Amino acid sequence: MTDHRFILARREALLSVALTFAYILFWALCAYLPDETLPGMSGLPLWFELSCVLVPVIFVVLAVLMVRFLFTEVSLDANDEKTDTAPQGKHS
Amino acid sequence: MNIEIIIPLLAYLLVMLGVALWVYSKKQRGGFLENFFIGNRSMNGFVLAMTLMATYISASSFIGGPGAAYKYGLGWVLLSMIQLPVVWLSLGVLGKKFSILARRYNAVTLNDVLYARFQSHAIVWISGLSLLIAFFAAMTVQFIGGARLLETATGVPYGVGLLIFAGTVAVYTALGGFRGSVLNDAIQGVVMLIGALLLLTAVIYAAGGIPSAMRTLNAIDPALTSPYAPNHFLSFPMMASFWVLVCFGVIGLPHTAVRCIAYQDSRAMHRGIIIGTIVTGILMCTMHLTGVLGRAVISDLTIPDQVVPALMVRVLPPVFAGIFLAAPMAAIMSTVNAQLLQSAATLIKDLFLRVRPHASLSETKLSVSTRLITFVLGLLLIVAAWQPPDMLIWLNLLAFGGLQAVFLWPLVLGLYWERANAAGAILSMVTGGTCYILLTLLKPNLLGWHIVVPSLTVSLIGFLTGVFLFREGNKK
Repeated sequence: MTDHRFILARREALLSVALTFAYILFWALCAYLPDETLPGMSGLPLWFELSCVLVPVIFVVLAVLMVRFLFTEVSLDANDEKTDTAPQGKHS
Repeated sequence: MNIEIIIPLLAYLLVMLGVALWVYSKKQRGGFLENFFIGNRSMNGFVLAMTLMATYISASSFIGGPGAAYKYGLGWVLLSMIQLPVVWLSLGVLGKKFSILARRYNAVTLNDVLYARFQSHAIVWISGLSLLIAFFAAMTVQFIGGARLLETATGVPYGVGLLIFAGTVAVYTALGGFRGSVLNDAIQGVVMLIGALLLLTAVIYAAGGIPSAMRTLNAIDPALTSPYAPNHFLSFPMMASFWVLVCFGVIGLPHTAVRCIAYQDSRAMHRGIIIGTIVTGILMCTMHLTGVLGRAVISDLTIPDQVVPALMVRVLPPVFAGIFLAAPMAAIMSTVNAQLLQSAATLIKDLFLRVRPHASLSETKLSVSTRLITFVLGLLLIVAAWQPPDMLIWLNLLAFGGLQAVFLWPLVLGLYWERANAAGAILSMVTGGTCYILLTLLKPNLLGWHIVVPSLTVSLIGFLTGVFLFREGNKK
């Protein structure tokens, strides 16, 4: 069971989890660090603008970058291990 | 009754039925089950994103969520933004491995994958039964939400609304199957997006701008604009629980997971992640913010769940209100159709055909009985939804968390841990599910933690115990 696509899949799964943890971190920092009464630019509180608008926008961009540059296109067919971008693997 | 609102709404329901009929009448390649339950794995990126998002975003995001935001203020929007990673997380983690394995095993349902991985009939039975029970609860809540929405916005009596609305969903799911459902999901996703953005704009306008709305909220209770909410309701354990419940745990929801085996190719998955994340982010933020700002427009609602329909009627012109009432209806229908289809798939493919494998000989018979079962399930739900409870979101989260406690570890560990075995999976499902039910019934003091957190912990311990006690069988 060492189809090279599974190694890729495992890496992509780990990346997705890592990005999620990074999101939690920034979401929490921006929500709870600023003084809660500070006003932001739009009239909403500053903590809200940071954690519910700015951080999500940044992480949408990061998600796009992750998919574009770190995820690999592979064939999903049952017995097909070949791809254009990754080296060929063998069944063990 | 308000005719101007009802007419565009009925037109919308007719479109849904039309799509299902169109799908029904089209000739399809491949076997009936592959087509009816996963649309022959043909979803492209856009449809995948929309159906994942629409399946996941339910009455709780359009009715219960904004209702809670109305009650607890901006802190609830912060809580809702926990859901931003849901699409990249569930598609990314289940990801290509799940999809490749499903193709290799020719799996049509989640249980097919679990069976192929663990080779155990017991697992299929446990998972099938818990899925049916939880979905039944979840769908009932969705139908209640839909009918109450109709009642609040148009004055249609609860029972009549329930019949019209639930009937439509049952019929179009039974006719269109998976393909019809996801096509409708895509349309509904777009409707939700437009509806949410317009409603937010209209509410900001009606509140006299954001700064003015904030002043009003601060005058009602300054805690409404803090991340902690009145009475420090949104404490650390509460927020951390929601990280588990509506973010990481979502990986284990069967009706979202099944969408992760039904896309065309890896390009569809990549585009699905991008589009889905953007749309989820926009919808979560706008809908919940609408609920908060709504308090500055209508400050005297006794049932918070009514905030969205009440706002629609108040701030939008009637015809528009009718069109945008379709948005939360869409959210509800798209969730129910997914769960309805999964329930039917479980009944037919996982339980019936497993007990009597030779019954699958006639495709026509299979087609008729599957559609009939889907429809009958819909009718049963209407009966169950006849007497509605009050706080929608909690009931929904109840079914939601139960499924996670049962499915999360067998799915994730089954995929990525070579030593995971049937004993582990069974123990995990049984202990997780039992713990969840017991905690729901006993309601012990968990210091603010949601019961899904201890349940998932117990379920993980169960899994590890099973794997280590019965490890011989898994050695290579």
